Amino acid sequence: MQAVDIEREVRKFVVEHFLSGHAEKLRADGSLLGDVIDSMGVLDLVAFLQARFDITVDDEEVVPGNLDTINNLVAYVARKLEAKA
Amino acid sequence: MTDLDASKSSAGLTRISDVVTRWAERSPDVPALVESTGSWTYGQLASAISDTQAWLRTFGVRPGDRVMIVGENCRAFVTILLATTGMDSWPVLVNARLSPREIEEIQNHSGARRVLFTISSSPSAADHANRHGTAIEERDGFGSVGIGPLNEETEPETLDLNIADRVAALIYTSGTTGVPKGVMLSHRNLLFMAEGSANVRSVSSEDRLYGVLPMSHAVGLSVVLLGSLIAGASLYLTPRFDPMTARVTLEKDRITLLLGTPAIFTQLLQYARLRKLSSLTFPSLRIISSSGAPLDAGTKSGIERLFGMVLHNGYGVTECSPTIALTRPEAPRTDTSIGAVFPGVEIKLVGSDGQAAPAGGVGELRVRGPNIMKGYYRAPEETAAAIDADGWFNTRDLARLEDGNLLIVGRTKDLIVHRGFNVYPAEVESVLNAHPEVVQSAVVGRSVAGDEEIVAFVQLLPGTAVTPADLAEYAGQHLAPYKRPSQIVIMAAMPTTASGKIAKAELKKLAQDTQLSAHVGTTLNA
Repeated sequence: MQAVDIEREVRKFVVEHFLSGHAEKLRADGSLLGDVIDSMGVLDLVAFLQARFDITVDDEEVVPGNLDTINNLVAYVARKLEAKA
Repeated sequence: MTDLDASKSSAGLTRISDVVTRWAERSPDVPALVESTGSWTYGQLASAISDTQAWLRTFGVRPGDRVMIVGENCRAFVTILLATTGMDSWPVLVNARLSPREIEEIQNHSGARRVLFTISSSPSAADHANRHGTAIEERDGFGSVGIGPLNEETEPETLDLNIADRVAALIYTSGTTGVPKGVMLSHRNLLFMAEGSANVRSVSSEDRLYGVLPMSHAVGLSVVLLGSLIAGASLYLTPRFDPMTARVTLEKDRITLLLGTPAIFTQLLQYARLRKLSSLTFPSLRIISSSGAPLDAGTKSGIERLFGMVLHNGYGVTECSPTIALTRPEAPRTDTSIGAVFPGVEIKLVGSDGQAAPAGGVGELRVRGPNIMKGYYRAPEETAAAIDADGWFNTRDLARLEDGNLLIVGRTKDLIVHRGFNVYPAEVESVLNAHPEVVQSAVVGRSVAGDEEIVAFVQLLPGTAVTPADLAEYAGQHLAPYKRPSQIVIMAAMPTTASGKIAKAELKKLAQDTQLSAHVGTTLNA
């Protein structure tokens, strides 16, 4: 899967689930783990990533470096897919 | 003026900052505060507090001044808080998750001399700091701190002659009228609570507590932070809860006490479902306890099955520092009772006729003891309405006693407890009503597993094109995330009572019966 496809999927999920469809509020490098995604939302995000990309998100990987921005999320998913391939 | 310290706590402490001094002398190398960016021992924390006092003086903070601290759990927040109380300034503790409007109201009401933002651990605090045009300073162990401009107009408060009775924390709660009320808690209040909480749970220097409850709120401050430090234990500071990080910390750092809210425990249950786990065992964990909102039986039994241990329960209000009752480790409950009354606190149950409720009967819960606040700041009438001449504080909650254990059977008529935070419908309504297309609104709670959701019913001007999503966005600009409605329902007309008031009981039933998803955006023609 191309990075651009991963980004489209991740962005769509975040916009629909956490921003009531307001895509204009999302920046690729903006922090998600503040107001956009609350703690309850982190579980939803992890569940989505696991189901959509067929990867396992380990508890130790739930850190800002992996999940805090769209860019980080895309890079993280790409790494996981690569490791799986 | 002569300082008197005749009324020390039973541990011989006068100020809340003394909890650190004592252990800095006895066991300076024991970790006091641990966070992902670094740790401080008691010795280091004592030095940091002393340095911070000198630092605060350099930018004009005086005894009696209010110093507002906007942040989330981190070493900087704790250190500034303890430093201010040690120099007789009043820390005004503010959760960075509040909205700009709420923060401004608190700033104005408290007359803060300075507003400080602990921004390294809190993106929200960083946003507020940017908006306030603060100077940013880097400090060892603190990361970045935003320093707001000096308020030269404000006057310091006169200090109580008795040190223990001086204000050690000013915590704002939204009043039933939507106007924030500043709860003044004294050193005596907080030390009494910290000491009692630690004793009930036999907390010692061998313990490691998970510090996720916000220290800008009463439980996080007195029970978790001070309850840990007074016992010489180690506190693992966490700005926000997420079950995955918590699982790792509980395991790796061998946490012994986890104090959470029903919402936190509900998330742990959801986490277990996601991971398909039937048990979560942490060999070092010896106490798990819930407070901050009513604990439902399903969450309690689910957590007890998952953890293989008892989930304890407690109850309190900010004005009571906050604990009023809690279940005891030696007397676990199988029901959702809030347990026996906190040691040293008196209660009485008063019937609707103003007389003592009959044995086993329901009555309004009144509380008296060393945990009762000094009063509401700059609000003597509200204070007099809350605390009677004999010192009894009226919780306005309905309770009954069963074998010496309290059960809360009803709460203040309208209060919604969402994710452990008190949400007053009047405040949410006042924001929605300020929208130019809104005629009127009514906000009620809806019970869901382990939580209450906020449901707003709104009547719009005829012909308007405003949607629930527009209103949600509007509410989002003016309310902290936890106060924003989970669902906004557009009503063609509001149901009313015979006297013409909005029939909230009817709306509450409608909210409960509405099987639509929790996502914002529903239109009903009822």
